[in-house]
Amino acid sequence: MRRALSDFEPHPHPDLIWGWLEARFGIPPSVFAGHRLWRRGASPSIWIAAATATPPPLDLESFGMLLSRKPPPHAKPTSVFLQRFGDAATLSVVRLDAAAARRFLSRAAQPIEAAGLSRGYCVARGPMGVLGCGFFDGARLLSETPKFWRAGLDLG
Amino acid sequence: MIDLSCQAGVDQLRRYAPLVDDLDAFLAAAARPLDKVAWLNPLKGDVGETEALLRARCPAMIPLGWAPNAWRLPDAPQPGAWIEHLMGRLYIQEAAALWAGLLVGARPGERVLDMCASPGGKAAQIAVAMADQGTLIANERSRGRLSALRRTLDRLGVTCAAIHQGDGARLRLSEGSFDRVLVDAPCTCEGNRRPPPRPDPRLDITPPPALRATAPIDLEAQARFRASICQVQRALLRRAVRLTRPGGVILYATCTYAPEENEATLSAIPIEDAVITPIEAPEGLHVSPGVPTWGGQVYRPDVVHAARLWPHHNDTGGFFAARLIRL
Repeated sequence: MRRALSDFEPHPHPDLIWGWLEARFGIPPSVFAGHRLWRRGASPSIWIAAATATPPPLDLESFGMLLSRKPPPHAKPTSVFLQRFGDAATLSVVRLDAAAARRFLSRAAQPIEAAGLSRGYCVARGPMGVLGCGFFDGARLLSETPKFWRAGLDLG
Repeated sequence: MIDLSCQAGVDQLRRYAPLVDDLDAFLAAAARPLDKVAWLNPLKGDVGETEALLRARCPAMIPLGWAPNAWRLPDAPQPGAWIEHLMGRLYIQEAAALWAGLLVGARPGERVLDMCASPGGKAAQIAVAMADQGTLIANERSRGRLSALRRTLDRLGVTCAAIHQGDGARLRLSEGSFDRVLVDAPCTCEGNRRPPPRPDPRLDITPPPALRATAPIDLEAQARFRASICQVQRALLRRAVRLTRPGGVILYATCTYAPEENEATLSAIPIEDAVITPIEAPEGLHVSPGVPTWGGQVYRPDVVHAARLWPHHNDTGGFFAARLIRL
């Protein structure tokens, strides 16, 4: 029988991650006061979980929420992470009206006016709140939302 | 599994005539379309703001009444396609199932296990009740159902959950290590077969406009399935009791009426291991007590503290729940 032990362990460099979130998105570390960062074995992925949560001694599918599959400087925040914590972002935020929000969720690239926005990942914000992760290539906003989100979504 | 799209399937529910107060009303409700219900998620945005968004989508929405921040959505055939749903501001759930999630009574900081967690609606309710603080283990036996569970918890913004794939009855965790365990057991789903309010246009099927007169029913196969699922239910509940600390709570729930899958399963637990405590129904929710006997079987006496929901009483699906305290 496979040995059942969690391979999640506290992330050894949380300040590196908090620093990246503050530098790129302006989210202060205090927003995450109730959370801890975890990594999984040799994987570079970064997970965020409630500080009061502890991984059980099981071979887990997930623990908490996936924050990024790669560490900085190549980190890309997951859309679910930004939906939960991206309200606090003050930098690299793209505000979209209802029509642009629908285009974003349909994963269509769209030109945007973005004075002061640097190339890279950004928080896409619609009229109802944070939609997910986008990428600004200098002229256009690309959607980095999961492909499966589009299926069955009513964008009419 | 009973097919309520055909008259023969509905007629099978007549076996519950000795248990139900109004058989005709029960059979009529069991075959009647059921409105969707949404509960609003405080982990994703302000609930008052979400309520306003929901009202704009569905002006006819009606408060469920007996559960906070929960609304019936008449004339809303596919709320799961709304952007608000994608953003995790609400969850669509059958009303009776929603009640079971509340009955777990989870609190912030606790250690809670959901043994059969996919698609994750009750697990998400538990996480919300815990204010996303503590540890929730969301277990699911079926690998094919894991992605639905993960997507639900991610979408609703839950960070206190660990997802595990495995047989809940064989979970290798320390006995007595949980404050609460939910056993939302696999069952024959007789109470969960009411049709949707109208065909989902995303599905490439055309349901029959009215009940078919007849349909082939393999009664032997149904009996075999029920017998096998009863074994699974008992194994899950036994393990749940062992994993719960003394004084902790085990909530056993199914979406079926059958005493074989409910009171009989509870009676497989020795009284010295756990007691069934009365369930106080919230105002506006009509519940019926568990039954002490069925088909010549006599169950443990405290099964009368369990609760059964009949669809004609509250316009919900059918459901059964029992709250046990570990001794």
